[in-house]
Amino acid sequence: MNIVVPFLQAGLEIGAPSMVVLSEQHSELVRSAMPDMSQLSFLRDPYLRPASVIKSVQQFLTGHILEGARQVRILGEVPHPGVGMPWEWWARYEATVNHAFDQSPVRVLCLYDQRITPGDVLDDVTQTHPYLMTADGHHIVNDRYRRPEAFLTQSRPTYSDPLEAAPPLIELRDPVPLAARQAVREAGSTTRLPVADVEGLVIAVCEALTNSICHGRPPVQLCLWANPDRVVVTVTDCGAGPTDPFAGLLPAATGPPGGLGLWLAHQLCSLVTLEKTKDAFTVRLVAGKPASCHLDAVKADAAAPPPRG
Amino acid sequence: MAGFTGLRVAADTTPLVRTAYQLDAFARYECVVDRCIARYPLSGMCAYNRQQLGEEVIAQLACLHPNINGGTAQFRLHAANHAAASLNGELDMTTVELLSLALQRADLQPDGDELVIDAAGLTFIDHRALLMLADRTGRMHKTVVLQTDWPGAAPLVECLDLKEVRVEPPEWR
Repeated sequence: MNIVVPFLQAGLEIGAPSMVVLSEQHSELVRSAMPDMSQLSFLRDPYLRPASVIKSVQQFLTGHILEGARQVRILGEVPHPGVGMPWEWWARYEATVNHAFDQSPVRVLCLYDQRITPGDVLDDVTQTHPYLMTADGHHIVNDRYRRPEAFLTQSRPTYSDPLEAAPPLIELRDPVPLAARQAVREAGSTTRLPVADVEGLVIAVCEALTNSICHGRPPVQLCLWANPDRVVVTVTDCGAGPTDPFAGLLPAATGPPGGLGLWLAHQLCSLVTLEKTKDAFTVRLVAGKPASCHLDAVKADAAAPPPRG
Repeated sequence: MAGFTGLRVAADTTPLVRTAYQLDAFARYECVVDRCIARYPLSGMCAYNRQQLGEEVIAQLACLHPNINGGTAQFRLHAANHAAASLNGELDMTTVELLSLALQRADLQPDGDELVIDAAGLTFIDHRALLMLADRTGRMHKTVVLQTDWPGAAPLVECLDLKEVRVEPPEWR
C-alpha cells in the first residue's frame, strides 16, 4: 500500500481517472486504504484473459480521453505460476501493452510480489517494463527493457499441458471445420465444463483451424485431450505462423474481415499459447482451469507466506 | 380453386438453372416464392439433378430451401412467418461465398429499424458470417436481431463489439 496509495492519490490530485486491475482481495485493500474513490474504477474478473483486459483498458482510456482527461492511470497485477496461473500469455501481454498504449497519456503501475513470483517470470517482467519502482517508491530507468517486438519474437520456453503427456483422445489430420467442431463438442460433453465454455472453445478451434487452412501449410493436425475439468486442443500446421508479434492480444491492424480469429480465441478460451518451431506453428487452446505447469509454482507454494490481512 | 385447401407444386427445375444467369434469376425467384409459401397454403418441391448441375449449383439452391436432402447444404436461409428470414445450420469459412450469394438473392428487408432473423436452428456462426450480416444492415443503419439459443452467439457479438447485432432467445420459447 505504501506504493499503491501514493500512485492513486497522485492521479486524484491531477484529476486523472484510474482503473484498478487487481484480484478481489487486493482491490478490497485499495478500497479500504483510499479515502476518495470518486475517480477509481475496478475491473471485474481481471485474471481471466489478457486480451480482454487490454480491450477493457482501451475502452476506459478512449472514453475518458473523449471526455477531456489529460492522463489516465492503471494499477494492475498480472497472474503467474506463483499464484497458480500459467504465465505464457501474460508474458506476451506485458510486452504488448507497451505497444498498445505507447501513444496514450497513460501511466501504468504493475505489482509483483517478489516473494512468490518465479525467477523466470521476474526476468520477463524486467524485460517488459521500461521503468522499475523500488520498494521505497523510487523510479529507475530499466536498462534491461526490450522493445515489445524484440521480446515477442525471441525464442521462449515451450508450454505444454500435463494432459499432453498421454496420447490425445482425438487426433484429426486435415479436418474440415465442421468435423473439428463436432469433435470438440463430443469431448466437451463428457466434461463438467459449462456449455458456454465448450462453445467458446469450439469457436476458438474453428478460428485456429481456419487460419491454418488459409494461411498455414498442410498438413494440419488437430489433437485433443480432456479430463472432467479441462479440454486442451492443439492445431498445428507446417507454416510459419502469424508475422504480427501482437497476434491474438490485439486485433490485426489490417482490420476485418481478416485478423480477428486469434484475437477472438484469446477472449474465449482460458489459455491460448502460440508456438513456432523451424517446421511448424501450433496454437494451443484450453477451456476450463489451465494447469500452471511450472516447477517454480511447486516451490512457491511451499515458500508462500501466510495471507496478509 | 374453390373447395381446395391449398396448392402443392412439384417440379423438375433442372432445365431452369443451366446457365449462371438462369441460376441467379431462378434463385431470386425461389426466395420470392418462399415468402409466398410461408404466408399462404402453398407448398413446393423442387427437384434438381445433382449429376447434371454439379455440387456447387446444388449448394447455392439448397441453402435457400427449408427442407433439403441431408448433407446438401451446411446452412439454410429461407422465409419465416414471424421474421425476415430463418437461418439454420452452421456458418464458417466453407460457407462464406454461399452466404454472400444467399443474402444477395434473398434481399432481406428490415421491419422498421430491425432485421429479425429466426435462428432457432442455428448451431454455429463464425465472425465472418456475423460481420457479413452486420454489414448488410449497418449500411441501412438498422439492427440485426438474431433470435437463437446457440450459447456462442452472444459472447461472439460481445467480443466483436458489434453494435449492429443483438442476440435474443427465439421468440417462441
